[in-house]
Amino acid sequence: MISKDLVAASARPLILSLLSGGESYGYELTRRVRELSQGNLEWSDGMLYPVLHRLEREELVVSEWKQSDTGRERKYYRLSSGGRRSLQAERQQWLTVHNTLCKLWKIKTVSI
Amino acid sequence: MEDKNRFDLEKALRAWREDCASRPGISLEDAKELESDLRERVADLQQQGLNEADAFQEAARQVGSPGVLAREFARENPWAVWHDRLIWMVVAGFAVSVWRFMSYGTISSILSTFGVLLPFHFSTGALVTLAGNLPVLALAVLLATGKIAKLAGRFDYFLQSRQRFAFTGMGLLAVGVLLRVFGPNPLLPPEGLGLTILYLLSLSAWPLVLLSFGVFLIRPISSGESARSRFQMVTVPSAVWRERVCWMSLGGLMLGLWQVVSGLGIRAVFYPGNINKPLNMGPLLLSVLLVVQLSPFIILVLLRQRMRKGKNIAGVGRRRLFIIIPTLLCAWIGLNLWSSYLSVPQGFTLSLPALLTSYLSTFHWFWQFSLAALLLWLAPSRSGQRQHSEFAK
Repeated sequence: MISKDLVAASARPLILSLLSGGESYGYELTRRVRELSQGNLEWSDGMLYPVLHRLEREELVVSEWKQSDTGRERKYYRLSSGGRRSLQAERQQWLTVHNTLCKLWKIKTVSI
Repeated sequence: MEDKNRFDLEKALRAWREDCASRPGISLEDAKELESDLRERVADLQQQGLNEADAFQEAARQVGSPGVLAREFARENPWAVWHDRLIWMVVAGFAVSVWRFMSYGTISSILSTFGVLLPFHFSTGALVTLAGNLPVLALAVLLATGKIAKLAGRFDYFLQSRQRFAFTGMGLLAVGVLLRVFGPNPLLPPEGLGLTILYLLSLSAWPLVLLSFGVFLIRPISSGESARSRFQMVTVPSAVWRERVCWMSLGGLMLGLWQVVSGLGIRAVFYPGNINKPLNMGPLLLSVLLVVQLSPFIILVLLRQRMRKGKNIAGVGRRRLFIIIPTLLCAWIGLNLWSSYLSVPQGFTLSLPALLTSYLSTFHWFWQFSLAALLLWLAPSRSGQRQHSEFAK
């Protein structure tokens, strides 16, 4: 299980990356991150939505209420152009940390 | 025959959403988003074979209790909590001051004509105070108890855009001032154009300050596209109105106190040594009055950054409110009494009992006590966990 602090810290790049693949809504983001992490990353609503709203206030994501195919109303989020730029910066930072750790642990690094 | 004890999913979801929305820090739109998340989870769990009631219980457990959610929302955006509270304080202050402009002349002229028909005798001033304040308080009680939820829902229309709020407010204020100056039983402006303009400005300074602060605050209430969205919450839950009216009353109490304090401050500045000299409305005094009345606005703008970073978001415990509110009330009444004592012309003497009697007969205390009572009645007790009885089957 991943520590609470790390879950909170990684939420931002994860949300931005998930949204770079197309618009999505809160519950789907939670579900997808759970699948991708094989159940190791469990987002609570109390963590996810405030982060999403913060990203919206920072104009990195744009939201819109839409009706889904099932007739349910959902608030969809999508990446803005500022969000794409922010994702690039996040990517660089996270890969730098990743590579530093890889070198220390003598694992193959990735190219940034 | 339908079983009365059957679990009603829609009702449970609505109750859950309303509980969320009534928490400071969670806006109506946030609550709706959380509810939509909850619905998805319930649907998933039902597909896995759980019945409605169990699916709801489990989904609600996964999402977290509204209290915990509110704390997390508030931690991320503390300003939103204060924003919401402030805006209702400001809206209430503005509405009451404009209502007083509008109603004063009309009520006093009706009372001076038909007052003799009343079975008891009060001075016109006292009756005007009562007749002017009672409808406001009745409205507050009706709002807080959710009796006029539908009507109140319409009110949100004026808060959805800055322009809408500003124009409605300016219109109301203009009507109020015109009624006060030209309507029944008018207040006569002093001679001279310059002095008249200053006089009108000082008359409407207070509501103008509140209105401009409201306009300054209004933006974030309708974030993004949601204000124009088709999917709006039609009715505001009564618990939300309860919270709003609570902050409105606190706003009223603090504004009232501030007005007395600023009034006394002006006397102290202008009449040192000879404080009993009767006030006259000179241009200098009017300008200072304007500046002093503007000062809370300036302070609030300066405090905005602090409030953004504010940490203490949870409400004050009920027990502490029983100390704070009566203290505020006593300060306000004490200053009022002192202020009326100071306005006694020199040469006259006034005993304390006579002062108290005259204060009681003006019914000014009615407003102060009603606000304090409203506040104590509505103040949420944040220390205790709210019961989620509605979710139980």
